[in-house]
Amino acid sequence: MSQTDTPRGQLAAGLRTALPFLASAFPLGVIGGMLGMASGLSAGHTFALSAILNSGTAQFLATRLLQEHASTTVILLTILVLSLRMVVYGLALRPHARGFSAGWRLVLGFGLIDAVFFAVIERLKQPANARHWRWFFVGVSGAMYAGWLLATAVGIGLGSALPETMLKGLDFPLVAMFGAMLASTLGDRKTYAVMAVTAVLAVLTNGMPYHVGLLAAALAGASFGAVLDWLQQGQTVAANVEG
Amino acid sequence: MELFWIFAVLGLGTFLPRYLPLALWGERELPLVIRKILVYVPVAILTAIFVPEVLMPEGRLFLHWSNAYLVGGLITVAVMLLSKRLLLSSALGIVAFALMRHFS
Repeated sequence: MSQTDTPRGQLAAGLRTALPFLASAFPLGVIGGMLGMASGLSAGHTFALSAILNSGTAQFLATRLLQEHASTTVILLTILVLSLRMVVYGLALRPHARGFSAGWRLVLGFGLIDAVFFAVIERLKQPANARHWRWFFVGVSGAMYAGWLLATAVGIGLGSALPETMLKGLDFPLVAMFGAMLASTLGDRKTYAVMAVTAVLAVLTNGMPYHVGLLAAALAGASFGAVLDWLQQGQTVAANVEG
Repeated sequence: MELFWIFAVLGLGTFLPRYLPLALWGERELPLVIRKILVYVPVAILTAIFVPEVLMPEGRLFLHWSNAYLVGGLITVAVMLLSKRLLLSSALGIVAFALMRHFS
């Protein structure tokens, strides 16, 4: 692919990439706005929460806990545990952010959500995008953020007009997007092995609160992949020594 | 006013875990072990998000062809592996899911 690695070219590519993600996340954003209203927050507060957090999962959890009058400490701890996954994303992007200014790191930090991370990591697989990938990031995360705010506003407008039975299943488009992204990360046999191990662990730990199981299973699975790499390297070295 | 502080705390609670790993320790490179593990982080996290969603949509294992999440998810993954087209595969999965929901 001869994609031009210019700020404008990367920004446009980012916006294009965001579209399917945006379409999949939109229904959830609408539900988020409706849930905010249902929890007793005002329209302004619901919108502000969505704008401040820029994280669907955190927003859903915060509204539910606010509704249950959980203490701020409990809400904060919950959100911190939930955000541990983001620490891993940040660490993975770190090597690519060499020489970035503090301002750019702020932009990357605020815009970093699941879909953005996976879109950007996929993009960075092609070295041709290395120079101006930050503009690709701005395109994807900016479009996602704007779309999410719009969805929240629509949800606020709908309020609790729709019956709950109609909302069931609206989470599937995003689940499907994650499935498609998962398929795109599958390559050699080691990635399949990592998937198998992680899948079993994730199902077993699903009962753990606040998605702790998700993180534990993922870290164990990724470490398993690193061990496979290490074993394979050992074999190559041994073969070279013998040969 | 109390709500203002709750929002501020929550905002920092979601922002700092995303920002600090990008900003701390200047340009120093991560230890080799961590870099090796990070290679497999995308596939592992996507598996950990996706698999429980489709195998246990209501919180418990539901391994049956009438599980619309499972059927829609499998179709999405299969089409993606064959076609490498994100939009096509998720669209087909969503259509299958919607049809199953409609006729069940």
